[in-house]
Amino acid sequence: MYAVEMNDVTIYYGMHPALEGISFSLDKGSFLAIMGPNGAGKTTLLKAILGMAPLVKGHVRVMGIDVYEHPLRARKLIGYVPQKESIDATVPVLVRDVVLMGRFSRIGLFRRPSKIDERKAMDALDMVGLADLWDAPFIHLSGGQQQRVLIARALAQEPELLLLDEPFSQVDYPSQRIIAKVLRDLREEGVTIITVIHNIGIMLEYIDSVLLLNRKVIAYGRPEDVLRGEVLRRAYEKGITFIPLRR
Amino acid sequence: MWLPLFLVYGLLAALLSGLLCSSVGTFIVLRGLAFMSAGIAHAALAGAALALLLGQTEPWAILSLAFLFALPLALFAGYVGEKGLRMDIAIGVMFALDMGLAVLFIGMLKEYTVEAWSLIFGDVLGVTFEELVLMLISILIVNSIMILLYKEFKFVTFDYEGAVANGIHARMAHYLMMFIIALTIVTVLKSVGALLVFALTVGPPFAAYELTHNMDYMIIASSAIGMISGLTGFLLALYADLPASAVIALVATGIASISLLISPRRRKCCRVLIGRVRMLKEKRP
Ligand SMILES: Nc1ncnc2c1ncn2[C@@H]1O[C@H](COP(=O)(O)OP(=O)(O)O)[C@@H](O)[C@H]1O
Ligand SMILES: [Mg+2]
Repeated sequence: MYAVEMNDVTIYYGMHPALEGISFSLDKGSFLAIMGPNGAGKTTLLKAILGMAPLVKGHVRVMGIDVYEHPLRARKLIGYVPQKESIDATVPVLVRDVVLMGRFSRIGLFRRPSKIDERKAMDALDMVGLADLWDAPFIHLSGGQQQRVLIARALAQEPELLLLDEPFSQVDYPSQRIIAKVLRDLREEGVTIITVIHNIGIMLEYIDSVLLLNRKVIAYGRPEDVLRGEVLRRAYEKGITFIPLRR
Repeated sequence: MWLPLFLVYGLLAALLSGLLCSSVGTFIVLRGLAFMSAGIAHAALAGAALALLLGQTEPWAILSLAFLFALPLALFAGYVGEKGLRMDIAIGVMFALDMGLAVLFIGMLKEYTVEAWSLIFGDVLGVTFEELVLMLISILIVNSIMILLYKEFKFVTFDYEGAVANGIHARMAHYLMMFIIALTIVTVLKSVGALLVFALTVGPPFAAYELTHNMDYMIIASSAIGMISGLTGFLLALYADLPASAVIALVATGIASISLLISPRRRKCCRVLIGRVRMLKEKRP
């Protein structure tokens, strides 16, 4: 069984095709980087894995579960760290509120977080190095700290599959290092990780495969096979010069 | 001490309206639904006016028809919001339609024009025992939903997509929130009036928002401010012989303005501003 399996997935927003004929499968426990230019459909691909993007054609399976048929069951296994910009930080919540949200699907309806939930949330916050900010207002945190809290929220869920949307973008250097370390540790623990990433250098040694996307799959394979000038140019079209990456 | 019954009913109605509007109003403000709540008030007015036009003056009949008009707008707004589309134009069109219908129905009334006016401007002293009971039932429904689904409401308000992705019942929470907003506004139509509902749903939460960074405390503070507005507004109006709902609305917005001035959130900006002014002064020769 694969962690993620996509079969001819096509996503349209109204008349606008965001993804066309995407097929790939990802082994459990591996670390996948999704790359591609702006508007390539990277965020949409993550949402398709969650069963949240409007599916026109195809199948998506996560841990063998068809996500569009059993969305709630599949989503419980998936931790999602959205692009920070999609969150309204002006809503008055404390850091602990945000991390505890990761537990809600496990807690179920009509019940409050238990002591165990609080401990797991605290552990998750500790993993991203922010345990002392448990009671702080979310809005008082720096961008990098907010990103780490959102990662802690996903960790509190104890996911089998972790999706991250540009976790390193607009994040200060210390936060970048901590996030990289957390992802490394999770990979060791056997969590399957998919991250949208621009600057792949941060994580290169730990990435098992790269999926190059521009509405379609341009290339999918080991980093050293995908991250080559002529392949990248096909994805990014415009003649940006890339320094070929070596392991 | 002996009090006339209508005063007791009026006082309770003012208190309960304040509580209901300002607790639910927290979510209206945080999710940016203020315009929608004004639209719902006018849809409810159209429904209530239609009830009067049909000769139905029973409180439950008025409330039912008002709700029948208000709910579609709330659910439609919920749908638009769920799809992440801009809702101002769509709501604006329905707002205009409902306002037109309300004016039309009220214009066609040959009887019950006093009742119609009280639905626009509110008539807290005219609240009957039956209406008070209906109000209590509404509060029971609305607050039960709010308490039972509080953690879902919080998640959905902070990050709707994250809540959906998490696998909680986010859509259900979202639409139930629209449902209780509609029910709240319909319920206070008689006591507060379609025009002034807005002040009581937005004023207290806005004041509370300035005072805390914790949503739990914000709801509690907002409810308290709402009840204080209802109570003091009612007593002031009684004392000075003024229309109660107007005074309640003014008290609510007054508290909002004061908390804006003393807010810990703003104080920081104020300090920066004061600092700037000082710097400018010092620079002067
Ligand atoms: N909710 C939406 N409604 C309509 N179009 C969308 C929506 N989300 C994304 N798109 C469009 O789909 C395309 C892919 O978007 P996205 O997946 O966000 O790209 P990326 O994350 O790679 O920058 C873009 O052209 C974008 O404008
Ligand atoms: Mg994106």
